[in-house]
Amino acid sequence: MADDGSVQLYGRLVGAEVRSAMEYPGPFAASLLTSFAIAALEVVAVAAIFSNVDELVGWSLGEVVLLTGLAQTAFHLSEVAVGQLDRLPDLVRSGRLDTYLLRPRRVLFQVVTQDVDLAALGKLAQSVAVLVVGLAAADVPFGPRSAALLVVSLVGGAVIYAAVWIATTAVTFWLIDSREVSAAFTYGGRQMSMYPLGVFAPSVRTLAHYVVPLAFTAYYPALGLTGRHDPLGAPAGLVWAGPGVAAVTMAVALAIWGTGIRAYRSTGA
Amino acid sequence: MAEGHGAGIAGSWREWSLPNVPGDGSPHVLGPVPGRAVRSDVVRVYVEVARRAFRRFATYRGATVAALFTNTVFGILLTSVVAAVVRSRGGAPIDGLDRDGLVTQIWLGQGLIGVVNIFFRTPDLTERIRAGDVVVDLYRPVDLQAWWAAVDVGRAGYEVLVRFIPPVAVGVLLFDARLPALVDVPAVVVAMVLAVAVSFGLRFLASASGFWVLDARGIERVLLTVWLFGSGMTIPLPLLPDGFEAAVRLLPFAATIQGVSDVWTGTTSPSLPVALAGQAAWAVALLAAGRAVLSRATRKVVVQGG
Repeated sequence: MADDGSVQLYGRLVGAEVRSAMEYPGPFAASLLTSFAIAALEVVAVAAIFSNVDELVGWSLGEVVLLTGLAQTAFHLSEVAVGQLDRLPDLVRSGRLDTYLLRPRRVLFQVVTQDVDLAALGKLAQSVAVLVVGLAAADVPFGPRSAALLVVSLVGGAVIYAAVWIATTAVTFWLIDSREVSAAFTYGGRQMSMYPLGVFAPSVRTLAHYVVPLAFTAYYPALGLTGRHDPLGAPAGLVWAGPGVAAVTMAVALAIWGTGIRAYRSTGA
Repeated sequence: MAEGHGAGIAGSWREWSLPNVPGDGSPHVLGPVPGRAVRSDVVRVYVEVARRAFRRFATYRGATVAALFTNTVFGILLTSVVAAVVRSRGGAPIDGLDRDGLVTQIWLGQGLIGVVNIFFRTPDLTERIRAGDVVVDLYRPVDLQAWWAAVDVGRAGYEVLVRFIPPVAVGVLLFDARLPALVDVPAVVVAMVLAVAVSFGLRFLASASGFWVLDARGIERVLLTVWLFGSGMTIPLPLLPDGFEAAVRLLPFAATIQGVSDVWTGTTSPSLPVALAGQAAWAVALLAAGRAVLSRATRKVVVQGG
């Protein structure tokens, strides 16, 4: 994508968004704080569960907070990048997508950059804070291996969530409004990744590996970081599989998106 | 009249000083009932509004199917979580709720979320206030709050049929959720009606905030998240530490889902009448607050639009 200047364009669009937000620093700070607090409520819910149990299917509070931090950070990274896909149904319904088809940039690029949501940075900051607490509480050892695994996992996780967002939003090209279906996989996926896989039935675990590979966004990275063996018996090498799985998932998602664009018929006006 | 004041300054801010019109039989009639309305006609208007809202929502079939899909996905995820919690306790119940009791609340919540409309599906009033169209509504010889309450009754009635019954049926048939005891059914119905009243009260206040802030959608987003947590949708409130649970239960959000679930599962505390009275108190307080806010807004308000 770099060859058509999209990277520079992305930088300029984000820069413009930052400058416009800074015109009203008070409301911008308020929206950042609000999204920070909102994201914190979900962690409160996870932590509250441990007022009833000492461990959840063999996982301690610290380890589950680590899972939550990994899942949320990867999710919110993808939300900052492609969260604007939520607006695709409006673009299709109003017919404005037609103008995007005429411009010399990829439609996907135009949709995700139409209005960069800086308030999502508040959620990202909150999830990084949870991640740091989780790393400490789960006694993750400092060192190059942990650092490398963390970076690889977050990038892989964010790409997997972004792919889920792209693939499920593309449903809009056939069904007009995809938001509910998208939400089931994106928000539902994040919610699922916040808990150990052992919580779920075998059929759900299978889906989380082969259909929507959420197991690679938080569960395997958390196993690798804490040095645990998978109580469900998966091979240890899967810990590093995130980026490979993410690449395959993204390729499939982009293929679905491309098929959707070709199937798109304007609603007309 | 609206047209007279606004002509020629399209797209700018306009200040209106409106008389307190709703319900006083104003001669400037733009609404569906011509002339001075007598009492039985007024009731008939609201019944008709509710009926039309019911029918209008019945046209959103695709959205309903998609929403049911999402409800089912979240129902399965949360069922797994609460079942794992009880399993990790060796099966010991939490605040009187065993595994099946908690699972009952999960599927009840998935069924109720559309009925009490936490996600502000079709936020018409918010949009009409934002766009300034609400001025026209205020000139109608009907009460603005009662009008939108009637719309919500029609909407909720439709959602009970298509959004409430299917998730509860899935929960009962596939995940061992329980139906309420037969003697509790009337109380459950009362609790659900009160839940809709409380939820309307909350949403009306959020929409009405649009009279003062530029865009009420930000407030609605915040409300949505706090509501999801406070109602016991994120996790059932009995799973919270006791002091925290007591504090969350003091808020109105608990009346919309947790309150119904308590009645349904027979775990009201300290007693059923007290629980229903608490719900009713919130409904009355929120509807009264909505009236107060509306009357302030209609006396002197800046309406946006062009």
